[in-house]
Amino acid sequence: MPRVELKDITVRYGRLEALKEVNLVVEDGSYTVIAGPTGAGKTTLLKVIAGLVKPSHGSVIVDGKDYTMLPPEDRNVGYLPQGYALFPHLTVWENVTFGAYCRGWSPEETEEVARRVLNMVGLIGRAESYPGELSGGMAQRTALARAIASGASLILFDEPLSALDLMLRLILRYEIRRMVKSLGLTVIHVTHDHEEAMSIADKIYLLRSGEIVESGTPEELYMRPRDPFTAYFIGESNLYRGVLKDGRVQVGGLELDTAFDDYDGEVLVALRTRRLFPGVKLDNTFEASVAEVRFLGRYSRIILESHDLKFTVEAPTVKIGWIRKGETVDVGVKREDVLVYPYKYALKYPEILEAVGNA
Amino acid sequence: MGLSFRSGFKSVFYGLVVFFFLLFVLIPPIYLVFYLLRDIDMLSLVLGNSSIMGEFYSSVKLSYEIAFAVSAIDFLSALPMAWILLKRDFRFKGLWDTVLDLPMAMPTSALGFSVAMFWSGIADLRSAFWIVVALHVAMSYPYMLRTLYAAISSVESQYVLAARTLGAKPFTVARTIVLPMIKPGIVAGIILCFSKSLSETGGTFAALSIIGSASRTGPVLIKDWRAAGSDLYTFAGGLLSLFLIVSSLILLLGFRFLAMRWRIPIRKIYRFEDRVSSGYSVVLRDVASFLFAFITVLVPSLFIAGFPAWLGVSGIERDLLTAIASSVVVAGLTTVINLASGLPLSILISRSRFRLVSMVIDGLVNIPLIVPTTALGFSIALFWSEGLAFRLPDLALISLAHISFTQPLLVRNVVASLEQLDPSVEETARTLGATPLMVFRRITFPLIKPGIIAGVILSFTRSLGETGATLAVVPRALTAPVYIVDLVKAGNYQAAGTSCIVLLAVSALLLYMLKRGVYAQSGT
Repeated sequence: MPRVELKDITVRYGRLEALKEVNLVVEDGSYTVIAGPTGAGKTTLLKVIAGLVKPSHGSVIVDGKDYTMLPPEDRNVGYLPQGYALFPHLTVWENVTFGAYCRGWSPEETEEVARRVLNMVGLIGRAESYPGELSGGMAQRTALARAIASGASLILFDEPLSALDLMLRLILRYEIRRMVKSLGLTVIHVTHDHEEAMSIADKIYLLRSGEIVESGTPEELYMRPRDPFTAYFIGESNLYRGVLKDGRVQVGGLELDTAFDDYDGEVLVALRTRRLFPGVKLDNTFEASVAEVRFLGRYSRIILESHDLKFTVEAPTVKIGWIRKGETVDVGVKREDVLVYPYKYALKYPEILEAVGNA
Repeated sequence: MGLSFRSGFKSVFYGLVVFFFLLFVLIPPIYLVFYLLRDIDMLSLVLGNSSIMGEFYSSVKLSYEIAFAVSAIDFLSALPMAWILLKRDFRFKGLWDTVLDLPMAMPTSALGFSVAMFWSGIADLRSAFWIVVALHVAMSYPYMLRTLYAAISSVESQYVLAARTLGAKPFTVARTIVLPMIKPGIVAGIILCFSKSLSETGGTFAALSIIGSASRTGPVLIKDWRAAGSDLYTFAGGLLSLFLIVSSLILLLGFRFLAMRWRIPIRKIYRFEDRVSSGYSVVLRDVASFLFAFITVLVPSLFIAGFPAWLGVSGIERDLLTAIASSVVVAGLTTVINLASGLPLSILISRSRFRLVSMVIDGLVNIPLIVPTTALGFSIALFWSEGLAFRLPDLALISLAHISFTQPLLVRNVVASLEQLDPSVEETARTLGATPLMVFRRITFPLIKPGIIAGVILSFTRSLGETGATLAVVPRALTAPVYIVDLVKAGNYQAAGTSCIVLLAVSALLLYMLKRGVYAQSGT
């Protein structure tokens, strides 16, 4: 069973650095998600682990063995690229047995393994179908079956859900996780969708421009992001520029109590849209007028104005359904939910500077 | 449908287009059957003539043997080179890539002269079979290379990557994943090279007369019998033409049918696959591919360039200039008529509401591509002079023959561009108030222009270089490739070499002007 460790992985394409000294550890049997915006180097990272891209520097360690120079066919890593790459000229059965065939397993063993895996993913009835005849979900399960049947216990998913429609995507998230967990597989899953990352991961590594920004459990990254980029990318936040002094932050005409008192000066303030509570009195409470109300079904989204600031708030409709446009409401926010970062740390993220103040 | 005229006018218009297509391309070979059956006495006379039938049999045998050898050699040598061009980076790759295409731009009579001079002069090759094989390989190798290159590059890299992670060695990936996926490309390449070899006349004749061989391939024999002029030989030529047309059609269509149904078996992994996937075997493969292309394609094709310099430049004869002028007139006429009839035909194929109609016409248009052009030209000459008793000027008759086998080149390119075009673009233009003709002029035409230009250039150069069909139509025609062949036959290599180079220069210049002209005229 594999434990994967990347040490100082750097990948250069000419002058472009796709990955910069990336270090990460994936524990055996865990479900790890590499999240990040487009162009962050997520796919390159997977290809390094699969052996399809040779790192310019650094090493890939699997179960204590150095895999860095091993060709992909000798790694026993299940790689599922975007679109799954099912071989279109081979049937489901032939796709699933391809790995066994390449590794020269006996016919009996091949047959037994393929049968067991196809049964497990519920596709034994479609063994004679060609990939073109499968639905999106079936294609995905076939690709997973193919990887498992080749003996891989480390599975690399590259945006496995992006090709599917929304409903299926939501269902498959949980199905994939349940399936790989029941098999005890180690999974590294790449996605740009932060909600997908949160709902499926044991641990998330956040990647931006080839560098790991932060890692942690979904809850850690959501509740206590240590880097402003995490506050920006994982979960939706209202971002402002403010001044912190003695643990209190001044934002526009508003003053909020924070849990940080080891820094004084200009700060980036992030308030999660789902950690602002209308109609509740908390550590910080301020009055705001309701500028807009959008009904989203189970959730509602309202835009509030207070002290020349705009706040976007998302909350369950049962909690805030009574709020109407033009009313004035109290808004409560806990001290530890007022996230502040020295403003100089935010300067290296142009996308954050652009979002500051645009609620 | 973006391109629909008022329906009555439309039906008449497309009816005419199809009629002319049938008249130009399909009816002549069918007429050949009637011509042969009309005169049963003559048929038995020819069949009973042992010297004619002996030549008939040996020429057909030689032609097919050569075509088999050529397609096999082309496939085996171009496959690794296509792979290298796609997967490897090396210095001067762009230059090498371009240079390999040169034989495609040369008229085959010039190519035949050059290749035969090289092999007979340098390597003292005297075998009729091998010298023609060498010529045909040099001529068709670039076509195989381009076809395989396009096929391999269309295989998405993710399949290769997925197979590697599943444990396949590079060679195993190539054998079990890439090869089956490019099968349609392989089949197309083999058919293309096979029919090119089967069809080639001018260069083959030049090569055979340089080594002084009495052997004749099918098309060369048709040309000779046509030149002999007597009724008996004309009849025998008709018989040979029909036989070559029918047999090549059956063979190649049958091959395609069987090959597309046959699944490349994937049974077991062989021990050697590991070893040939890396190290010396790969180096050996690369070196062998480069050497092969260099020695059998590049050097023999370009050999001619140094030729007149050795012998001293001869004066350019007036005849040569006349010949080039006739060639240009024929090629120009052919291309203009091709455009006029090929464009509507392409639209009909890609936009007809009746799938069956477009499929049938598409199939028919492509037939001349796999049939020996000399045989086709012979049937056209017979149809117009004997069948319709219609005396056309020589150059017009030659153009007619050239249209029959260059039309598919234009139509295929235009159809391909039309099919890439998103119909919603044309539909949107209609909703914005454009009439169908306006849509064609302002939307469709500019978008398919690259396809049209490619088609025009292909059909122009193909017509400019054709020897066999020209001679089958007018035995004493004076076009540039025929002029070169005549010089070679007369043993005047010095003049032939000079003429080849002049022809090459003129055709390169014309192509350049044509390209510029088409771009400038259509504007943007």
